[in-house]
Amino acid sequence: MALSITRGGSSEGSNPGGSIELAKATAIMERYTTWNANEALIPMLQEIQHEYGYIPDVLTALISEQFDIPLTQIYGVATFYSDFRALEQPEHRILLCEGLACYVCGSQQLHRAVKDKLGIDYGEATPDNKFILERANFCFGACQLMPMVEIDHTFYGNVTPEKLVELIDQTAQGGGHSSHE
Amino acid sequence: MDRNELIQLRTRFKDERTKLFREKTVIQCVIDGGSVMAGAKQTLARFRQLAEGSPDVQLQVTAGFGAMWMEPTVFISRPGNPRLLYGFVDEARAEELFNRYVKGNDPCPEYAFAWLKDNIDYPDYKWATTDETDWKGIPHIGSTDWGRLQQRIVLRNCGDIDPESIEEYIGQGGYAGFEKALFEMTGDEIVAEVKTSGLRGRGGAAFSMGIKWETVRNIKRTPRYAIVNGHEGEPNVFKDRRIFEGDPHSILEGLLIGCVATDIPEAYIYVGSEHPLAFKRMGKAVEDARKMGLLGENILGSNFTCDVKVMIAAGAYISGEASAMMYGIQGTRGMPRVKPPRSAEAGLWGQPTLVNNVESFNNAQVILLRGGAWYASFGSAKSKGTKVISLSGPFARTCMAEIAFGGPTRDAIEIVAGGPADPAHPIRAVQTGSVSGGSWPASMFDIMFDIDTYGKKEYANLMGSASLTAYTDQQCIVDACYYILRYNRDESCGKCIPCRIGCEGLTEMLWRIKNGDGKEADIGKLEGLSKMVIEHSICGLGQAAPLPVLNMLAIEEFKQELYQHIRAGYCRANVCPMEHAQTKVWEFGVPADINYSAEHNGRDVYELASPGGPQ
Repeated sequence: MALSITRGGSSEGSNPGGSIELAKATAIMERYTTWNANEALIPMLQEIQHEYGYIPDVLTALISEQFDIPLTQIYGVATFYSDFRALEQPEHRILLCEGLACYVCGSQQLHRAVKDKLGIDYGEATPDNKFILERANFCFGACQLMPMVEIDHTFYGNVTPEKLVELIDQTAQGGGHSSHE
Repeated sequence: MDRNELIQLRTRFKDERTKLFREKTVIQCVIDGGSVMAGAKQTLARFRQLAEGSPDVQLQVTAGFGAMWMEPTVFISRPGNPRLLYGFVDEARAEELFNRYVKGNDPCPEYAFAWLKDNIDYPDYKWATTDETDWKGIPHIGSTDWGRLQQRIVLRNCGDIDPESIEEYIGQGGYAGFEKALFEMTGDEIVAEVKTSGLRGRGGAAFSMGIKWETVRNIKRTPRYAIVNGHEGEPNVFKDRRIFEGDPHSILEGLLIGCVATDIPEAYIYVGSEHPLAFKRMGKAVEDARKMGLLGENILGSNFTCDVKVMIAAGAYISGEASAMMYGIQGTRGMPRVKPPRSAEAGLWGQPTLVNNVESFNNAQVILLRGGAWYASFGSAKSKGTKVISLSGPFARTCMAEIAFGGPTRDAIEIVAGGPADPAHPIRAVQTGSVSGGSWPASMFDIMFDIDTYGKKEYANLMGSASLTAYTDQQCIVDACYYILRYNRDESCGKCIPCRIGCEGLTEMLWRIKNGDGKEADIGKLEGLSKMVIEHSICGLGQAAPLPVLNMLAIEEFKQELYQHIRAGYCRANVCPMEHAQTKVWEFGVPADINYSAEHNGRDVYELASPGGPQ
């Protein structure tokens, strides 16, 4: 079904069931037409991920068609790298830093706190699809602030379990979050 | 632009900078990935607001200085006074500093950490010089503990210049090495100079950079490529990203020197997606260089052509491995392949490829300008030069620093990092090489900081990317070991079976031990499985993954701790859950009603259990 959607603005808005807006994706793809198709794949998927929050099936099909890359390759890349998500994501993402220093200095307690508070483990979403808990298998590069938590692209340092629970409450109520570089 | 114009520009930009510092008060805020999280942007905004309407105050951005424990950090230099370094500058302190020092003339010695000159003005880039004294009660940076051991060759511009300004970089002598490579040296001479320097790759494998360049130079097949490997995926290593953020042009210059030496017209800089600011600044650096005519065709009228593309990665720790990284650039799953052929023979698109780490390339300019012999005069017998280290964990000073090889590791731990954050919890071990190495116990802190000494087989350890993470009595070595194996299991690409299944097996076994279900036979199994993974994995990451286990078994202190876990169900640091430890105690004939869990009373149980337990 996804394959039947063709490129161009005409399908925009007429897609049934709240499907995605294609104009942004075509604009992204437009920018990479001069590139070597294989080289362009990951930067392009990065931009799509950034724009939509996940990699919609429709777009992998579109890229495959337009850049002549096998669909299996795109799917392979999109599922291999940890930056890409295949499905639409919950509203808020709680990302616990699990670098070595954070891990040995308190992120285990934070993990427990989230588990107690929301009942979710790493990689799981709450039943109301509001929160997802993820573990950062990399370093935020600010180890002086360990342990660190990122909620919706805002970083918090020296987080205690109590503070994290508070932050989750604030986020649930739509408390003031600024976007962050 | 030709060569003379570049030389003229360099003089002009240098003069402009000197004039700026002579005539105006310059406030430099450290804005990089780590300081932004500590609130440096608010500090910068506050200074902007305060400086509005005062034409003799100039605000600048700098990055990658490395004094992370006291971020946000700010440098203030008033005409006639030395450049002062302030730490913990939040908005309130920014206002106080502005009112007292910029408007008044009180340098606030209570907030100042040290005074310093531009790094390139120090002989051999060493801060510790004998002829610098305190200024109004503020120490010189070379006499502070943090600064006195440092020799900042790689970080020579970090903290001094605006990373987004090519003018400042050129003014500090930038692109002089590239210029020398283009006009005064042949490719063979460059390679010989790099070989003389004895520089070994800084990414972890520590292969001689000169030999690598020579190999690529001797393979004449075209097309050929060069890649800067800036995918630094390990936790607790933040050196490459700080270099990207603090001095992107010197990476580009090092890369260009490599391209001249090996005659490569096309290069890539691969930046991890975890570091968006690094990607942004590197991209800007390449664009600026292209505008200036330092990239493209016929550079500086020398007939040399080279263009550089900045590529973004997409997560995945494995992408730091050279062959996996090249598959990433090619738009496929990043899985390493069996070597040989090495990347020098068959790399990107199957063509000869020169791959080096960010830090390695960053040394190239200095090596050309000062000579390989100069560079080789620092460091130990087989590890030449300096190394950027990332210090994290419960240290008094979490920071990034650059020290020469060859000193005792204790220097880094006790002088640079200042020992434990809380004196009540002394440091009992340091983890080296992040997730691909083991730890040193306190009894071995005097071990020489040197690639080969660290890599001795009996210790099962690695220098890797030289991060040091402290463990105190609140951290459990088995827990940390479990974490590393768990990490490697999660991040294993799954291509070769030893790593994919071996790491899973080791993780499960360690979890069992952590949970109080350890068996005596596990020790043999841990060792056997670890050796199997090391011998049979195809890439360096898999080969390093079980090192912490072997290291734990090789070093007596750690082995005792593991035995405590297995035999007595006792975790000294009280970190491991030990849910099934009660059975254990019963099994070894210790009365089950002893309170072994919550407080550190478990020690008694251990003492009761171990003599009678099976050996």
